[in-house]
This record gives sequence, structure tokens and C-alpha cells, in this order.
Amino acid sequence: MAPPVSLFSDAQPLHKEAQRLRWFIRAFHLQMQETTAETGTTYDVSDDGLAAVFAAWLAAFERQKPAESGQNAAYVGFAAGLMLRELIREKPVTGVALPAHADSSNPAYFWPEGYLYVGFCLNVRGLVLNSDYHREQHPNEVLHELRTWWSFRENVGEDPSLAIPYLDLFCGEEPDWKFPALFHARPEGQAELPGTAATPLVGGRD
Amino acid sequence: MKQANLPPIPRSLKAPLRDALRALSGVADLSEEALEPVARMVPEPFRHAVRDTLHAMKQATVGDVVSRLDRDQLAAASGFVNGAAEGADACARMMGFAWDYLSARAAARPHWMFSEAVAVAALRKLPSDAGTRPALACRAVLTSAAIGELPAAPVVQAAPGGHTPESLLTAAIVWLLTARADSAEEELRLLDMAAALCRSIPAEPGDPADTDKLNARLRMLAQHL
Repeated sequence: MAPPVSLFSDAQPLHKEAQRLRWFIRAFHLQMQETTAETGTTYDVSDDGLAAVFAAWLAAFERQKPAESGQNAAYVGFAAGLMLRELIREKPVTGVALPAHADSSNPAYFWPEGYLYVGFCLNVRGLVLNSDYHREQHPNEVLHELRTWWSFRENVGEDPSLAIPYLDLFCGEEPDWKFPALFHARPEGQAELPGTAATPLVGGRD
Repeated sequence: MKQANLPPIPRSLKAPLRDALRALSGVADLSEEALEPVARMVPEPFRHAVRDTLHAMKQATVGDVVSRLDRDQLAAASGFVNGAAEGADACARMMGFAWDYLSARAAARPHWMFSEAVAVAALRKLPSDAGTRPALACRAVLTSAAIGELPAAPVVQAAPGGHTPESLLTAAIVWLLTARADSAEEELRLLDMAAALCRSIPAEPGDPADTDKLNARLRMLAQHL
């Protein structure tokens, strides 16, 4: 599936565009539509809640933004983790209706909100890396394993900052479980990040 | 006995008349609240007649919001807060539009009134310094008599997370400062988002007279809207 054209702008690169609330809300609604089409689960979301997520994310994003442009691609991955953390903290999805065939051993139905949030963050991460840094993301197989989602849900319930290393894990990167909320600059040459496939990274397994 | 709805505020109406209608709508809100405790003591037909009349008065300022948004005026207002010499009148008018729109959508309707006529007078006096225009425009309106309590309004504390005169005006200016959307519908969504963003990123404590700080905040919010 090609990424939605409306998410791109001629005026500025995607990583800049993604720092606008209007882009964030539009992209989240698109992800919600895609996830509903894929799983049959319907969601209610609060745009005020999304604004609160965006504001908290922006503050955290600005706090650790690297001074060296060589770290920008690595920071995209970290920023996506920060976004996942704020979504999990704020819970902007206010209602979920599962389809009749929902099988709770599938991550999409085991934790529908988490599935939506992870799908959104992975797709934005992949889109930005792909369009602005020409890198590809290769999601890890654990992304589809129920036991990983079980521990993910339990752990982020206790410490939402653990969403950052979990997203790294889902992306096939080395997670930092010890200091999850700290961005570590990567030495030159190690800043290669797995990028994105243009298709949704979560789901489509059953 | 049903009252006919009053027409929405015409685009061509002069600012003082729009102010008068805006005040009328606010008074209708207050009257409905004030009459609530005694409503059950009044005969049903009379109660309905009063309620219909008050709703008609409120409808006069709300009307069809999309068609009321004049995008030429919006462009001129946007130019003014971004530093253009012309556009003070359009700016006051769009501030009034944003005020009405956000007030109508608030859970608890604010009991203040905004006067475009007074705001225009304050904005016309602004110096030509384009760089700090957003903060200067904000200050000029807040320190003029453009915003005031509605007559006979009860003294109420703003609900946590609710609108205040400052937050409504800040949202309006951030909306005017940001890049324009492609349609009137999208502009209204942008205005909602401006209000939500301003609520989510509150001003840091500091000297309220610090123009540079206020200016930086308004521009930062507009940049991320």
C-alpha cells in the first residue's frame, strides 16, 4: 500500500511537517481508518487528547534534540518511541469496538489501542526515514508474537517510558532497557537505522 | 408560539453592530441560566416561548459558521499579525469570529464579551514593528477595554482547562499567525486545534510584560500548529 499522498508536502521535508499538530492529527486519523479496514475494530479518538499527546511529545522531543545533524536519522527512531510513550500515557482513544470474529490471541485484538498506537508510530518512523533519509526499516518477527505484546502491555502499564525500547525491539533495533528515556548519540557509521516498508508494519498475519 | 430565528450576523454588518449582537447572544445565555431555577413555576407555553426566543437570540451569532468565515478577511488578518501595515480592521474582525466560534464550542460558555470596535482602535495604534507584532497585538487587545464581563454576569471561576479571555485571544492569534489551510472547513478545524494546543502548552511563569517571551511563545505555537 502506497503511503497517503496527503501526508507529504512540497513546502518542507516530512520530519518537519510531522512537527505540526495538523499533520499529526490527520496522520493519526488515517492510521485509524487503515487499522479499522484491516482488523474490523473501530475506535473513538479525542482530538483534544491527541493535542495533549502532541504537546507532551513536542516538549520531550525538543529536550533531547541533538545538535549534530548527523544524528538526525537516529533521533527519528527515538522520537517515534517518545510518541508511543505519550500515546500510551495520554490514552487519546476513548472507545473500542471489536468485530465479532476477534481472536484475542492476535495482538490486534489482544490490545487494540496499543496495536493502533504501535502501528502509527512504526509507520510514521518508517515514512520519515524513507522519505527524508532514504533508509529502510525491517520490523522484527516479535512484532507479531502475543507473548511480546503481553509483556509490552504489562511493562508500559508500569513505566510508559519502556515504550521507547519496545518500539526499538519491534523495529529490529537494539533496545536500551536500562535508560529507556535517554537518547544515545550513535557513533558515525553506526547511525544506520532499519527503515520502513511502505506497507503497514503491524498486522496482516492471520 | 414559536419565534422565528433571527438571521445570522451578515458579513457586511459594521463592527459595533456585530458587537451588539454578540452581547445579545451572551445575555441570552445568561438569561437562560438565571431563569432555570424558576422555569418550573412558569406555565409550559410561556416557558417554551421564552426558551425559543433566547435560542433565536443565540442563533443570531452562531448561524452557519463556515459561510460566515470570510477567507479574504482572514488572509488580511493573517498578514497583519505577521507584520503587514494594513489589516487591523480585518484582524479585529477575525479575532471576533474566533472568539464567537470557540466560545460557542466551549463546554461552559464564557461570560465575557469581545468588542471588535474597541479592538480595532487598539490595533490601529500599533507601531510598525513587524517582528513583535503578534505579542503587541495580543497585549494591545488585552489591555484595551475590548474584553469585558457581560453585564449582570455572575462571578464564576474558570473551570480547570477551560477558556479564559487570554486563552481565547492567544488561540485566535496563533490561528491567524499559522500557515493557511485550503478550505473554510479546514480553517475551523485549525482553530479548534489552535485552542487545544494553547491549552496543552501553557505559558511558562514569568514577567507578563515580557514582549519578546510572549512573541516567541506565539510564534512557536503557530509553527507547530
